[in-house]
Amino acid sequence: MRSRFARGRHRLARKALAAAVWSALAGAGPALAKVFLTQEEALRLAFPAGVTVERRTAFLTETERQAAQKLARSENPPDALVAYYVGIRDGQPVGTAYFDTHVVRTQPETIMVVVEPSGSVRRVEVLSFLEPEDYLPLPRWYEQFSGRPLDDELSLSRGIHPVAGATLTARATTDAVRRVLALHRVIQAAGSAPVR
Amino acid sequence: MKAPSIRLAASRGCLVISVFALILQGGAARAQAPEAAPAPPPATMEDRLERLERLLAETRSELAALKSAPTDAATAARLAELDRKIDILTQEIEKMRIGEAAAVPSQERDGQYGVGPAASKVYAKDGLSIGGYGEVLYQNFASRNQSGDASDAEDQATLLRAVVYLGYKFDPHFVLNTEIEYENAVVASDKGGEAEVEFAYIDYMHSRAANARAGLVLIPMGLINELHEPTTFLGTRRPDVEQVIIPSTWREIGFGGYGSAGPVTYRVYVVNGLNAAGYSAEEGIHEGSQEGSQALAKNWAFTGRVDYTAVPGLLVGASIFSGDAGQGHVAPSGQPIKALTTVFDLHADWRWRGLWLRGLYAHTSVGDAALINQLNNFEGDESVGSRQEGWYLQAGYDLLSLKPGSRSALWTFLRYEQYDTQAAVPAGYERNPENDVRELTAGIAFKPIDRLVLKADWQQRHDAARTGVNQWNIALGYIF
Repeated sequence: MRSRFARGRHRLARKALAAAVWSALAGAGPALAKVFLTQEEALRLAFPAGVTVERRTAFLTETERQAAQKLARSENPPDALVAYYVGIRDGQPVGTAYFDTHVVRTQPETIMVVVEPSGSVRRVEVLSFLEPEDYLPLPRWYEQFSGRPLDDELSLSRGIHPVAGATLTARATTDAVRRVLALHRVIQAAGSAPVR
Repeated sequence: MKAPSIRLAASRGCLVISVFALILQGGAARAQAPEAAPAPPPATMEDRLERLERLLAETRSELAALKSAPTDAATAARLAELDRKIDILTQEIEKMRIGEAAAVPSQERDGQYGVGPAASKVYAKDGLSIGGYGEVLYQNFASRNQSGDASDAEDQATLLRAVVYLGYKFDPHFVLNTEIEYENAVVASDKGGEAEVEFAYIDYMHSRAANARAGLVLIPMGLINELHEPTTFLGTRRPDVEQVIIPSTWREIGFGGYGSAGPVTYRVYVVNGLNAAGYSAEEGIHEGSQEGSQALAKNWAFTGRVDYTAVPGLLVGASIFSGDAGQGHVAPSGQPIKALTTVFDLHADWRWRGLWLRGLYAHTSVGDAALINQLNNFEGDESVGSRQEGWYLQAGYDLLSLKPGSRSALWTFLRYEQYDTQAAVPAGYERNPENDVRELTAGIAFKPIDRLVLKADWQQRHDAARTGVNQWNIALGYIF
């Protein structure tokens, strides 16, 4: 699996070469802030060339929302409207990408979770992180989610190791991944032909 | 029968679009409302999104029903148009949720995934951020010390810390972070409280690899100094090694950089030096920290830290602080005091499933210790330690990690510490065995949620002079 910021880093490296660090400190550098990937860039990471990406939307019923909440073990049911992106090659789905925005401490983080057709996590990418970066785990931490199905082990202090100094981020991210896998399972169960 | 249904669906679609426009206008629309009517509480963005989602779902269901009925070409075209509008609205909702990351770089925009330009950057506009933490501590001391003599330590209950973080994001590059702290609740001449700014710095965020920071900064040493919120460490009290050998919360005025490359993170700063006139036998270099308050700045120091986190859950690192601390002081003998002070530490933190192991070794060397003694009229065993060192090991286990799906944590832990602020003293002076301390702490910490913690522990404190006093403690901590 490619690292979370692999493509972003290469792009940044090229830009950094074009502008010396200290001239950047004077305000001449590229604007990066805390948006690491745009949604479109993330989708390119999720699905390689040759894969057709279809944007779909599911409108969950109240029953489905409650089912997803139970599966995710979250305190609140998920939103009724779920947008997701299905990668299709040769007429067969090769994965599904979901975007989840959640509050870490007081500021939001947006991640993309790519789900295998089997229902397990393929990869997790951070798109934006508006908390201080001190609270952002390094890319390697996010790789723990790869291959994880929605089970008891997909939990902090069980299959997912916490990270010193970023417990709240680790918790929020783990909850988000559980929420996505729960939604995926509910949407799949609602019918092989999603709503849109 | 068809025509009225279509009109209903169309008007419903228009209603949805109108509602969406109203949501986007937000406050402006409220401002135009008649003043006589009592204004309802302002809806949050989440509320608005939820209402919009409900309306969309209803409209979509009605459309689906209409589509299933036989229709002529004109009706089908109108339904298709409504379908298209609903699709646009769902995309707009998604972009509002995601915020800044929904933006597409203009040079790369090709519409391949149907993602348009950002409609909203709601989060980027939230310049001000507020957070904080606090801890209440009760300490109960044994009536007798290690030798069996009467102890003069008094039991105490205090609001040890109440802290407010204030941050402001000026733009995507420049961010202000501050921590304003009250210790022991009341700041008055007859109370022991203090009001302090623990840090106040400006970050310039360039990239993950290289960023700049300047202001009153936390010295990047050890495991506690930078991460000292009560929910981030076990024990009612911070480890003494990280209060005495590493004088947390240690901060100075300075500037430098920070970032990460692969599994390595770093911070490097140049800061004002310590003030050796504040050194003592009991507290080591602790009172040499100038805390950004009219700090003597004749001497400056370098401090830096490197951490390695290649394995999830494992952090291994080292840090250093080195610089003269004489600050222009001259000993009574007329000799200028340089007082080169170097502190370094090695640390590790490992979390695996419910297990949490932590260890640290810290070492301090102080030059011109004899001259500092002369400056402060220290004699005999009052000498500043020319070498000070300490270490601790801690093991904890979260019992509730055994319970699938638990959002709470119940830690049990054990910590052993050893430190000596006079591991070595200059010739002509003596060590005070009271400063050679060994401490064992055993306790529990219950976190019903991540941001609240209730702790209780027992501490056995021994020193080489046999004057140590045991204590047990209870603490309540919160962060927000």
